[in-house]
Amino acid sequence: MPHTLLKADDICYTYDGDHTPALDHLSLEIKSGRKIACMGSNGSGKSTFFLCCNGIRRPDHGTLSYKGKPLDYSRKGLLDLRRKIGIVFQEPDHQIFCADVQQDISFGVLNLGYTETEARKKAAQVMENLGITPFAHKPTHALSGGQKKQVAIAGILAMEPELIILDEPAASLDPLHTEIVHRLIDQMADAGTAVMLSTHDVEYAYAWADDIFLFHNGRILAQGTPEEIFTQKPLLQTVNLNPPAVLSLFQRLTEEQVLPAGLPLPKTMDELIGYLTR
Amino acid sequence: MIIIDKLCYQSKLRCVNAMEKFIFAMLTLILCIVSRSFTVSVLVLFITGILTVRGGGIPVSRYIKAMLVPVVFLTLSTLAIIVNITRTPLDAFALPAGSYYITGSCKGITEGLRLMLTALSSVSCLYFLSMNTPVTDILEVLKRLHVPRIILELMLLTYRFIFLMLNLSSAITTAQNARLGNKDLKTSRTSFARMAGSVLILSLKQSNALYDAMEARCYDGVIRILPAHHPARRSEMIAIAVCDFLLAAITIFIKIRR
Repeated sequence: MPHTLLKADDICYTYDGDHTPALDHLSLEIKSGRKIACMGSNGSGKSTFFLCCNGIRRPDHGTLSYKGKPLDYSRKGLLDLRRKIGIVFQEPDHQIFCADVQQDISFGVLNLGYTETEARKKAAQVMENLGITPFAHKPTHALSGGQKKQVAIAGILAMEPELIILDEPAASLDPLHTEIVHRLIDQMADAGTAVMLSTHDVEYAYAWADDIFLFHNGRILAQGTPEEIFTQKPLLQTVNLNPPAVLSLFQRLTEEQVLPAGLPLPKTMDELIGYLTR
Repeated sequence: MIIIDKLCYQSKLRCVNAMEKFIFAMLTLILCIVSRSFTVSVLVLFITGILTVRGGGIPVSRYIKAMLVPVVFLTLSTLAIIVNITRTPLDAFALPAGSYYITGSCKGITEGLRLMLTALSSVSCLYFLSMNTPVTDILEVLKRLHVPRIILELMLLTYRFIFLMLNLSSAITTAQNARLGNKDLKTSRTSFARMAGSVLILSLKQSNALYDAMEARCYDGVIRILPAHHPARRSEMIAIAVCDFLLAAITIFIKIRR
């Protein structure tokens, strides 16, 4: 029975000196064991919502609760929350503050109160799992963008959070590193960590996510399974998204009666090709 | 400075215990200054040079180029000590200039050279340390020497931000040049000012973002980082002790003979 992991109830947040709210009476509910993708144009409130999720920003109005309990903004409460919810920021350079890879990865672990020996072990383990041991002893400013991203993810993974939030994990990565990061995300999800991410990549969101949340002007415009969301053309147009290519192609092929009606929606190109070659 | 940063990460002596390197550099540096002798200075120049080039694998040309920086500076300042302008000529050399002499004494020349060599050998000690030890390792040594935490944390963040800001400034400068921001002196001056302004604002933004990200990882006011794990080796410690003991002995011998 999936339970509610994170629940936002009517939350508002306005940045200092801004007139328009970044979050405008936003409500949503995230169930455990689901892979969540948040979509929506830049400035639609995704990142602000993420920052609210682990207590970096505190909503001006409304409540956020994690596993049924409203967020506790005391020092101890926040530490506890941040131990459970980790955020990988969009820009690795905004996250990596150490000049040494291993030191940066172990920063969060040490903050959780682990001893140096344990932290060293955890960092080594994570670097091994992510395959980044080869550049463990390079200075962080000598890494490529993709490598920095991996280090940023490692820094969060080492803290073993229950829910990991990734803010546009594949932004400005080359195809190889996008692939690596996507594989990492699958690994996390398979290992039982709840994953929530934001992305502009409709193909990826369609194939990967269990639930999609469409953000628009600081609110949730729509939510549902990828099949529900991506078949609603007008909805997608409002948030300036195109339907995934597989889906468009599948719908055209069904309209043109190349494919029989009533087939389940294909998730990937391979599935669609499967229909055609069957 | 950026070159030195690159070099120290490639150095073969990088994984030698930082405290060892620090103690060696500092002891030798102090001996250079205390002894003020040609012998010790030349010996130190030789030892640190060999250690950096041979031991650390720093290319000779790089090392010599790096050493030339203080050489130029020291030559200029030593000239100011050696050369006097007086009415009476001194014993070493004298060039008449009107009723004055541009002149110098033998003692002055020896003193000047001694000073120059002492300073140069001291610099070579510091080069040895900085060309073979990453900044993060040096911070650790300072931590063990009980330097206040706030200073160390500032140093850590400053060091990281140097590179972030350099990246920003070079990206902005490139973008400006791509739009003819450097077409003449006046334009480049304005461009430079704007670049500096943007770098300031952007780095403030970046530091805010960094603070958020640190908070997200349970930052509570204390930056805890793992110390590098390079245990000190007995053989290295003995070598350092022998080397500095010999230098000290030479120093004492020279002092007594004087």
